[in-house]
Amino acid sequence: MQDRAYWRFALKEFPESLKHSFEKEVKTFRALDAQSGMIQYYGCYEFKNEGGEPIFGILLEYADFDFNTAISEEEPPVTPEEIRSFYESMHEVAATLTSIHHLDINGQKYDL
Amino acid sequence: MQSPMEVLLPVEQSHLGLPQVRLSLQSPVRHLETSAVPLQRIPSRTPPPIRTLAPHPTTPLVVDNTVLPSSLALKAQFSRTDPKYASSFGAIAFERTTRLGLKLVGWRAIGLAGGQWAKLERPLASLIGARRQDWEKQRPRCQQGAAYNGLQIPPYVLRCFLLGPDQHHGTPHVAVVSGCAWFRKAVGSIFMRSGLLASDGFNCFGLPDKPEFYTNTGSDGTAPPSLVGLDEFEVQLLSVGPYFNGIGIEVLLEGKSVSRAAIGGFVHVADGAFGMTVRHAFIPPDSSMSFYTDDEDSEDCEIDIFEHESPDSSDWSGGQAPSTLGSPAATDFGTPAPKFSPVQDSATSDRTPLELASEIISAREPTLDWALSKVGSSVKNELFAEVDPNLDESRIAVKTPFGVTYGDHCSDGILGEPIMGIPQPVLVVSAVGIQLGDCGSWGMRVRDGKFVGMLIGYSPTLHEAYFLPMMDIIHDIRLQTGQTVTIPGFGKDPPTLEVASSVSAAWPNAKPKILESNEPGFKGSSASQTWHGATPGKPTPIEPGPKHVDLCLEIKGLIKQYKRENAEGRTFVLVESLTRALEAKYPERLAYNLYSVVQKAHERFSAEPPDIYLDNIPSMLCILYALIDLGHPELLPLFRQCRDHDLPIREEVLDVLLNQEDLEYRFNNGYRDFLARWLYVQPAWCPFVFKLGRQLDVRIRPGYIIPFYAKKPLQPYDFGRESHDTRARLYQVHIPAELVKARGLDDSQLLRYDDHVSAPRFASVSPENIADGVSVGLAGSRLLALRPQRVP
Repeated sequence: MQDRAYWRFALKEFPESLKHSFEKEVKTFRALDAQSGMIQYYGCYEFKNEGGEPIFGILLEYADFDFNTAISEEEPPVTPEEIRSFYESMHEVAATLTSIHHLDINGQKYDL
Repeated sequence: MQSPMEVLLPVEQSHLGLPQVRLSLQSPVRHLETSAVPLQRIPSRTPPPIRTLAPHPTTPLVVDNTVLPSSLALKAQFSRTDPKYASSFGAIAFERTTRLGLKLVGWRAIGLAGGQWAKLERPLASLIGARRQDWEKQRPRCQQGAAYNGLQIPPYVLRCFLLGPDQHHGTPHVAVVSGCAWFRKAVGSIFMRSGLLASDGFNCFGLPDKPEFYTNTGSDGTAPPSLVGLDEFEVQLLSVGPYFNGIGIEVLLEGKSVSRAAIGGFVHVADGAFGMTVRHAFIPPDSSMSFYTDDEDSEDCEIDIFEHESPDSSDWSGGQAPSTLGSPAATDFGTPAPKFSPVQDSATSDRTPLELASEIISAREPTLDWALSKVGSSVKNELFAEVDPNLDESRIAVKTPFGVTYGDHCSDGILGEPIMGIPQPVLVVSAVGIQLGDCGSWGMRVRDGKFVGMLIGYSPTLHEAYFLPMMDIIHDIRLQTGQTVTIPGFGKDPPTLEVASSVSAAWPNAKPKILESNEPGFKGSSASQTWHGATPGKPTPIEPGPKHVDLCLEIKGLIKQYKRENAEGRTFVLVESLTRALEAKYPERLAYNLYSVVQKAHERFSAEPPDIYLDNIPSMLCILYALIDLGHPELLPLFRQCRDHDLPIREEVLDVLLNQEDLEYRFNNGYRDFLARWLYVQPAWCPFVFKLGRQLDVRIRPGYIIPFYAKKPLQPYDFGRESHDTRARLYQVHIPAELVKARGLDDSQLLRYDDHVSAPRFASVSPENIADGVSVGLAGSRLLALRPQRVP
């Protein structure tokens, strides 16, 4: 048996009926390319399944948890160090959200 | 150490993988449009209004006893767009308005139609040579009896467009682009009768247009080859600028200028340095030798749409007459020709001036449109545009004597040149501003600085430049000379530039005559050998390798070792790993040994050597491995028109490539049995490779294997509400490390299955069987930032 190394990704698949959503989502991912603090977008592709139907896929960075799960399931910060760490993390979240509102697309800056 | 907090990009409609902080995806777009910052207006691609001819009086058409307006009846010829081609509409290449007032648009074929065209173009081009006696019958009698020399093939281009009045009624069409009406109709009819087009829903039409071969000052460069030897020509530099690439040259015959062209770049053949230009620049400007004529009535620029004909139709001329659609002109895109700044003269350069020697080299029977002019000094090629890895790989920079212009590689095609014996496979680059004397210029891929081809023709109405692939040229020079050919690079490191590998492989029908060193035309010198219109040398002899049977068994064992199954149970082979394993065992000899396998197997059936070159082997590894796996490596020469990137090959194409009658006796169960086994096996050799980054934004060709070891549905978080009605699905997928090409991935995130445990397939991936999976939101490693650090 060979050593089977693999990468783990998240894949989002759209049927043809949602092609419009797919295209819009890809467009947005591209616009947010190189923005730090976000799940990475690796690319998209189109293929046809065995029934001949077009399927559109977006390949993303895989994450074990989402933000909500982390907030709801992790124990709340108690010690001063934990509280400080928590708020530092929240600051990072806020910074990332802010970056979404200040985009640089093809050299053109947009303030939302 | 804490890493920065991450948030997931919110997405619209699908509601999968949403972060807790919810943003509407529409917001950025909508706000962009109303933002105080004005949006940058992108120049419209819509062409300006075009001239139309006044409708000619015509007889109303009757369909099912109903009189239809002529334009409506014509429009009815275009059925609704097949949904599978809905994404195949590229940029608009031309627009033509018929006499009946119907506007027909030609879109460049991309996606599925583009992929199918890639498979069709070469078999179709081969029909032009194979069925010549058929189309020759249609040559006008006044031309048949004329005294002329040469190959007598009108200039033409084979292209693929989606043609129709709008994108709802567009069909993929093979276009026979030529200035000769009789040639368009004859070749179009042959294509339609071949049966190659029908299976994919392709049609064919003739497009009146004339490719230009921008070189000659005295004629249009389309005269047939002359008996004048190349040694009677002289080449002079028009100017020497700061860049050696793209230098203008003037070709002289008996002291008189016959053409202008460009030396696009330089190659080293053995120990000699040569400037590369086009072969068709070396033609006497005898206008009387232009034997073919364009359409006599230049105003009558008709698009000829051909109907499907029965393959057993006895006489094509007796078939249905093509539809006649008049048109005044192709679309003017309204794009102004770029203003080029002439290259500065030598006063701005501190380099050693370039000197041309007297030798000019080309094949005596040219197969590809190249010629080499020996240079007296050692020069290197230079990057003539700034390399930008963020640009799309289709972006091409062209260095002409007038400056640098840019275009986009949009398709491939076939260019027929009167002086060349075989059709020229070309890269089609949409570009404007190609000028007289630009032929010979090199194109460079801006993304990585690789030279992709040499300019040999241009269509000023379609705004398409035709480049002979650099890989084909180098391959052909190597075959013609039997010597090592390299492209000297810039600076000291690296010593040579790479040839772009994504261009099409060498034209398979090119079978140059390899001359013996004692044949006329061969010249030798003490320091190095130069060849004058001839091709000396022999292919490198194959040295003894491992036993044929042993190597076949070894390869079969490795194939078994590197076979994998995807989540759907389909088999694919890790080809790169297989080849690396073989290379490790046979360093620098793998191609020789594989060629030896083919040669030995071929000897069992024929006394003749296999009709394939050693240089073909590296680009046909998958095909050869598959044939070895099937026990028939001797069949590789029959696939010489294909390369690995052509896989999977459709059955109709295989029927053209392989000769059933010849093969029937070789197999115990006949040709059809072999064909069935090949069609079953070949998908394993084309797993999709994930080149992460923007270049992954691709359409995966039909038949490719999606190589997910595992594919597990994930449950998106729905914020405590009912799931929205969406059919977008989210999965966790496992992709073999060998098939992921990416920079910047953290190797520490690379996972491995246990050596003794097969990959979990998560075979049941139906939406109804979604397990209690996890949602996608924050990258696992980054989640640590949110988790409070417990202080002991």
